[in-house]
Amino acid sequence: MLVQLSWLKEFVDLNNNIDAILDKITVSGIEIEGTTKLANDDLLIEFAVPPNRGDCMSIKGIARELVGLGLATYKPHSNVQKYVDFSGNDTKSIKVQTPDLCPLYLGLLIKGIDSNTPTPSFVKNRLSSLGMGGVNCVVDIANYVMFEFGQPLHAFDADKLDGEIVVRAANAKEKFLALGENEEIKLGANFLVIADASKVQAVAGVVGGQLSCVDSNTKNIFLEAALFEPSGYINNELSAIGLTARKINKLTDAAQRFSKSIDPFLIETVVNRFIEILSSIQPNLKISQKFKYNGLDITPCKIALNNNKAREYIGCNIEDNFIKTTLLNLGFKIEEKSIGELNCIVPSFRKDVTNEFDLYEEVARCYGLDNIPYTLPAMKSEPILSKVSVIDHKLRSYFQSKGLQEVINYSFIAENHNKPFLGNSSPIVVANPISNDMSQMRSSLLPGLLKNLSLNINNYNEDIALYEFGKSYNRLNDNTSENHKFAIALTGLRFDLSWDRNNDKFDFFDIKGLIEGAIEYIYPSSTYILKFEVMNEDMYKDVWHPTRSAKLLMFDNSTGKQEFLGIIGQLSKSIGKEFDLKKVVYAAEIDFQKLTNFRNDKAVINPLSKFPPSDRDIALVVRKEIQSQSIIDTIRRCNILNLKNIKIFDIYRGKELGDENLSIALRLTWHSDTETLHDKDIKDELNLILERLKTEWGATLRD
Amino acid sequence: MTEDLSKILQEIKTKTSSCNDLKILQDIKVHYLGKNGKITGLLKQVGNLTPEEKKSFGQQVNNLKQSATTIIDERKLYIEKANLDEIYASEAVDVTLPGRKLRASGKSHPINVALCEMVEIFRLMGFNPHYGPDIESEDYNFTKLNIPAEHPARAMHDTFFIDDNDVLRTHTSPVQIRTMLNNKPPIQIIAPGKVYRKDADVTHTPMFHQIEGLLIDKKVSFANLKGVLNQFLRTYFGKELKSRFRSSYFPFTEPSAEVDITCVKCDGKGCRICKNTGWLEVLGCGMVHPQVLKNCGIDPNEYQGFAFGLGVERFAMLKYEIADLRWFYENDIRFLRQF
Repeated sequence: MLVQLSWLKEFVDLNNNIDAILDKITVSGIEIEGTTKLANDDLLIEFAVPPNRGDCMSIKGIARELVGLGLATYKPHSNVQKYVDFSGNDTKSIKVQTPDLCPLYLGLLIKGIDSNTPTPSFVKNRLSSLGMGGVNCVVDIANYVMFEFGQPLHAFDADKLDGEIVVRAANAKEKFLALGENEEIKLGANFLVIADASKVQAVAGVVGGQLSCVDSNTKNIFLEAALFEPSGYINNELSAIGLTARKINKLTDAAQRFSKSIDPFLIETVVNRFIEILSSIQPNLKISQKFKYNGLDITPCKIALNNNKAREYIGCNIEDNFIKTTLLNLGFKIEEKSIGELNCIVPSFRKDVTNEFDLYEEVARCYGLDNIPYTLPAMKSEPILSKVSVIDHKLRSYFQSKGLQEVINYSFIAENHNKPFLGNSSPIVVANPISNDMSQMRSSLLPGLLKNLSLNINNYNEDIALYEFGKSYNRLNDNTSENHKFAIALTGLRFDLSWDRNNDKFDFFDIKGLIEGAIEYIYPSSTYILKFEVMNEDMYKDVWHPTRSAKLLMFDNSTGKQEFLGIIGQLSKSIGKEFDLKKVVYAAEIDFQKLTNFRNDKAVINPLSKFPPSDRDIALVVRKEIQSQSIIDTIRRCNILNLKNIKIFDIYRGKELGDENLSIALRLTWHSDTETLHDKDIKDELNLILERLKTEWGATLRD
Repeated sequence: MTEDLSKILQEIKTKTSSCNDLKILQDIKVHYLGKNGKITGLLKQVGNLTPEEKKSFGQQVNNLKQSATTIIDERKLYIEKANLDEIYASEAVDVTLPGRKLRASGKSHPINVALCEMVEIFRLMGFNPHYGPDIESEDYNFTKLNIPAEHPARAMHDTFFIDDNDVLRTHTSPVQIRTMLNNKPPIQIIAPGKVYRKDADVTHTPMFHQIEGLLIDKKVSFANLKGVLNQFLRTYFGKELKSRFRSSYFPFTEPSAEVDITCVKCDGKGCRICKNTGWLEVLGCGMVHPQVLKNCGIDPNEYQGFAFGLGVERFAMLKYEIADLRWFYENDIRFLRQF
């Protein structure tokens, strides 16, 4: 809210220089957002009035707050003269059908107006520095008075009204043409409106109508000064000024004030102030009729305050006298029940104060939050060492040590980027997205990573390895789930460009090795077995290269539990196109939750053997479609106690083997904990293995 | 005979000093000191001499043996060292060639660096992290936090909706609600996580990270809140940091405050970043509103508490002097590698 300093000074004398005052009011709850110098040493101040402080939405309100905070003193102000009194018998009643939402309504039929009379220059100047004014003298003065006292007024052209005014709910079929608009809008059944006998003439507290607006032909006006409650109910449906204003996109100055609440006891003063200014330029105006509805509950709010409780709550030894003086300054009335026990009567303009905690806040902010000491609370909770977060940290540092850069992507993704990754789930759509690129919740971390690769490649960084931890959002049969995952994407050179190595590119075995390594790192010498299986399901083909990708399954030997953890491999060519990636990309997405559910991260420490190991290298010739894992499985099934390790150290394809075969070289390591092994025993066991391999896979030893 | 001995010694000296080969040196050693060596031979003769001769000559031969051994062994060490130098010289590498890292280490995303540091500080202070879903009910995100549908504060949050009742959480405060509903005080938690608001410019991204804290116990005061936040800010930004508590308004706390720190750019003198105020707002906080406690089944007459919330991006932006928040989510590695 903008305030001219000169206007403020009509109400108060400042007790200090303006900078000190603005600092103090800022730390006391009404922040200064900025100041602009005006002509004649004047200053335009922008206050950020919080939603609960409707009482500060005016010059008068700010002046009152300054006095309350001891920053200013009231000027001996000549009260507004009383031109009109609504208490007499000559006041007609007005029909209010929704008294909860409009407890007070004053109307005034004013005749003999020439709306072409120029607006008084002080009104015009002040409004113009607020970026307002220039409509006509009636509207300008109404606005001026609103800024001055915080009470919105509305003037209708009385001759354009059809019969008497009624305050009621709109019906859903009604339409309304707002001031300054060309098209009618639909009203909601929960809108409070001001209507005449035939039509809606204003949306209460928000905006007037074009039909009854004051224009250059206006001679007679109907002035409305009402109290509309910020919110209430119409037929059990919520009706709120703020909601209505937002719905019809009219966050007017009036709506901003009504939605924060208004001081009911100021309304008559404001009407008189309006007439005071208007009559100064309209000597012929005549108050022809007064209208009133009053359903106001004027019982003031009374709150018991225990000073000791206040001190405990704030944590500071604030004296009784300070508490009392502060509240008195802020306009509260105080009844002292006993020492340190007060009854506080809340002033009518402070609707935000309803309980003792509100009073603590008043005391604390006036005392100065910076004057409250720093003390530490007793900490009582036991420390938690979450296994999940330990694994999380380990994995992240593992990937970093392997040269992968962490990224964080938005949880939002474009529809076309989400679609290939949905699998059999349906998308979670954001009802009001910020842009089309961010219209759905990501069902996978991969599209984000692929966008990152694309951006970096376009910026001439073609060798990239990224990882991300985060959630994917999925909907299956109307159930939404948020799944913790991590994903990796690799493209370009495997290692940094080097002077002494082959500068090879990433391939399938890099992504596989990273994932294997990561899981071995978090679950040392565990009983878990990782299985990589070729995928046959069609639904994966959109995303994954069908012959260079695999499902990852983890099997717990001790419990028999098996989980599908995710997919690793090369991405499909169609995904490459979708993300504008001309490079080959290897990726993996792993379900972090399922991975951590295994939770056996305790290392099993074996005693160290005192005896030497013994290696045997064999080169087998097998049909090329036989998976290496099946060879190893066969060897394992031989159940040779001292065979401790099986490693593949070469794969060879060559003409002499025939097109349909390849050679696979294995190093088998025998090692006993109890004895030095004899060559003959190893030989016998190796023969057993070779025989079994020949029977099961037709494997022969290479010459 | 004595003459012979000194001649032999001279011979050995001459031969040895010109020898640069360990093998030849070994031959020299064998020639004089071996089983059938010259000096060994002389020693054998000692047995045939008279006792007097035995004593003096034996002594001399033994001295010769000692000297010869020393001379040859010293030469051996000398040749070995010289050889080693040669080997080293032949094995030289160019120490200025790039080291082999396979890949340069990756790094944490700067937002995670900041988040982890902050979580660590709060953990050390005794606040345990709690988590909740990103897609949250309106009830937990707003209503239970004393923000009813018509409350003007709802207009402050530009909320993303998923459907009629579900939103993308606009703060991590719903985690506080969930914790209070499921646990009895004392409660001392932080809630780190992603939050969403419909806003995008140089200082706003539609997704960002928050850490909120909640402490509920008997006899908790606003001064306690100040103590905790002051320790946190001084640990994160440095002991020299100045901060101020400014009275503010949030529907879910009372009294409410915002905390400003002296501008990290201009040190409080006033600049573009702090809009010439010298202060930067870094977090919001307050005593938990009694209505919020009631909404979660906690009696406000028995328990009080405080809550605070801060935006991780804002802290990171201030600490690293980042001009545009959106850089954090472009994930350009030229940016990310600088942290």
